[in-house]
Amino acid sequence: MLPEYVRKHLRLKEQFAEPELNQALDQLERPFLRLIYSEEGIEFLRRIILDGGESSCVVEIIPRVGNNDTWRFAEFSVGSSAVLDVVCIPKQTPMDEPPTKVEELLIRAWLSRQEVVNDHAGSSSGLSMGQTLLFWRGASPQFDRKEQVKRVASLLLGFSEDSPSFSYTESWGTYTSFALSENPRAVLGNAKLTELLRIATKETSIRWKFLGFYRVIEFGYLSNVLAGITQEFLKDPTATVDEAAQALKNEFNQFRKLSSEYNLDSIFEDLLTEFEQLVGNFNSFACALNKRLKNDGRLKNHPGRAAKGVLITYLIRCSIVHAGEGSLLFESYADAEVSLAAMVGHLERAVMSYLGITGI
Amino acid sequence: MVIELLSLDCDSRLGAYCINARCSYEWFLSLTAGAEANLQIQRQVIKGSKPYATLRADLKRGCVLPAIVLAIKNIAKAPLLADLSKKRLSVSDEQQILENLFESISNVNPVDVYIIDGLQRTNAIRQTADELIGFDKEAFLAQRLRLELWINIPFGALAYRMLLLNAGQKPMSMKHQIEILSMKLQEELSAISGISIITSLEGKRRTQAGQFHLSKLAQAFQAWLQGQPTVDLKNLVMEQLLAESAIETLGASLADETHQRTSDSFFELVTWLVDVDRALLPEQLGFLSSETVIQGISAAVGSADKNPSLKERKDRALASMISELRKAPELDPLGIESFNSLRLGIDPSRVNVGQATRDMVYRAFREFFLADGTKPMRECWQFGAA
Repeated sequence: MLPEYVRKHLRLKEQFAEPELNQALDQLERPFLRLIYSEEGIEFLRRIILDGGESSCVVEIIPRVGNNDTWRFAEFSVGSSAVLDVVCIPKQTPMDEPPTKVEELLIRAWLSRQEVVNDHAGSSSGLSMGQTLLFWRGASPQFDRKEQVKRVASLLLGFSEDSPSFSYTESWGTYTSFALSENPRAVLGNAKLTELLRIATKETSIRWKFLGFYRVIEFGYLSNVLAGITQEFLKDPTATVDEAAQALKNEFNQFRKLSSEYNLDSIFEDLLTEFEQLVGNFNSFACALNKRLKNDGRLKNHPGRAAKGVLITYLIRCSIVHAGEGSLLFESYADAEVSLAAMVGHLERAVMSYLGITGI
Repeated sequence: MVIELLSLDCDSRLGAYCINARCSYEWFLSLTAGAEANLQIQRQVIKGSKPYATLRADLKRGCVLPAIVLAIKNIAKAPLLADLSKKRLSVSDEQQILENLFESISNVNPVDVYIIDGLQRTNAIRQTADELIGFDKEAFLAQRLRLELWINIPFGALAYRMLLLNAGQKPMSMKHQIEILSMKLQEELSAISGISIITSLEGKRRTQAGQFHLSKLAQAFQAWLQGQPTVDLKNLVMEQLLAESAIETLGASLADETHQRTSDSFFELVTWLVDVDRALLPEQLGFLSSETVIQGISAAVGSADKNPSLKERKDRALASMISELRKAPELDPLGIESFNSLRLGIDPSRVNVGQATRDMVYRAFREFFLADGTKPMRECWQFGAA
């Protein structure tokens, strides 16, 4: 049954026939309540009303939105099942019409929850701006991953409570679909990883954002060491502990191993390409790093472009955290942040992949 | 010339009377200096908007404005309405009254003057005068303006009259505005053979070829006027754009009397749309049911109409298309199959499908016209979708 508040907005009588509905919809001013912008939107609403007027979706309203200045839609899947659609409503009404998917979901949301639209008098009546709508797809209350999916979505789309008001890169900023792996070592199954992702995404300083994402990788290779110990200890305790101790002395090796195991090599090759362009453009920080790279013996045991990309990432991390006499200091180079801004997106992609998040 | 008092009219509804007068712009400006501030319930003066830039240009070219309505108070020797209504005034009685009032009206204090209707026109006159210098300014200030002066009208009656006038000018709903503006269009388009125009009040759906909603035709008219497919649906912008487009496109041809031909061009377009609609196969009825398709085509035609060399190619292209459709509609000369499959390829999670379709249709038909109708539409659709 059509909710009464909808019927009143459409100026329909309690009992109405199709011609009256058509007349009411044909006379709607567009954009209507900042919800309906197009002929397709009107037709969508018309079909729902003729089908009974009810929307079966479960809508959750979050009174916050990320820093997007336009409409945004994203679908989240766990494994092969789509579980959540998210609509991010910007704080100011954009000039562009929303994507059709957004428009349809806004209509569904309105049919489900009256408060999606504010009923202030005059021209300010309409869709409440600056909110995020979550549409749980067929998810029952027993869906035990619901809070975890919501948490990851909030970090990726920027509507969590501690999301910054702006972000530097967000290489996933235009993705409309995120697939979350069910693998227990992926972000959905690991609270620590979710926390590390939260810390990284809330950073506004480029260097700390880079470091924040690096820490996820660091957690990854430390976890690998731990996994090795767990698996092998009882078979040969002494050798296992020795091997772990050796591994911990060589972070680069662990990082390289992680990249190979988790199929991140192509991403670090892309990072290297970016780095080479910076060197070619005489970025002083990149040039200093490049000089250091040429004298670094670690690449002898790890040939190939991916290894070089990994080493660059590791050296950048060292330049941020170390302050020793022989260290390359990130702050000493005026264009270091420019260099980082160009490369951090690749590190983000690598981290997303490691966390089991695939986006398009 | 200062002011001429011409005649007197009584309004028993308001319980007041007005004097019809004529004055120079110079006198009027001195009379109304700061007057808009007096009227607290008047709208804010709109400065810098494009229609008023056009109005100012027209003022410099000597256009005649509608009468501006003023209320003036503290007029000495002003008769009461009751006295004026006692008997039918003769011409000489009326002239005597006007002569008696002449001095006090001529010397009225600007603080006693209220603009009831004509604030924006007043502003336009003032801005125009400010832009001119020397002889041009003198000549401009000497031009005449008609006034309607309400003498010592009570505030209640003043507010009623003003609100009534403003209510008549306030923006109505957008749909309603478009339909009011296009009523004349409906009259003309109804003459097209095979057309059936449905208004929003009827609540009908399009069920057969040749049926078109008036609102879609009106939007098509705007798209055609603009030569751009996007019909901005935000009320204020739409209102301004419609007025500006109409003024620019239709007004530009006033001097050489091509106004009639300009209207005919849209008439020809709608005739073509009806002919195409009727030539298509029944299962293709949906093609011209879409407002986005109609707007896209109209914008492409409007854009071509603004370019004399492209207009000829457009005319040939449209003629060849209708000819092919009538000969063999089953061969799909419009490439509707290609259009439909390309439309399905539009990602609804990233873009508004309607907007993307409108742009695609516009680009496709532009390409079709540029190719003089020789390029198959399926190729033009691919071009439009790129």
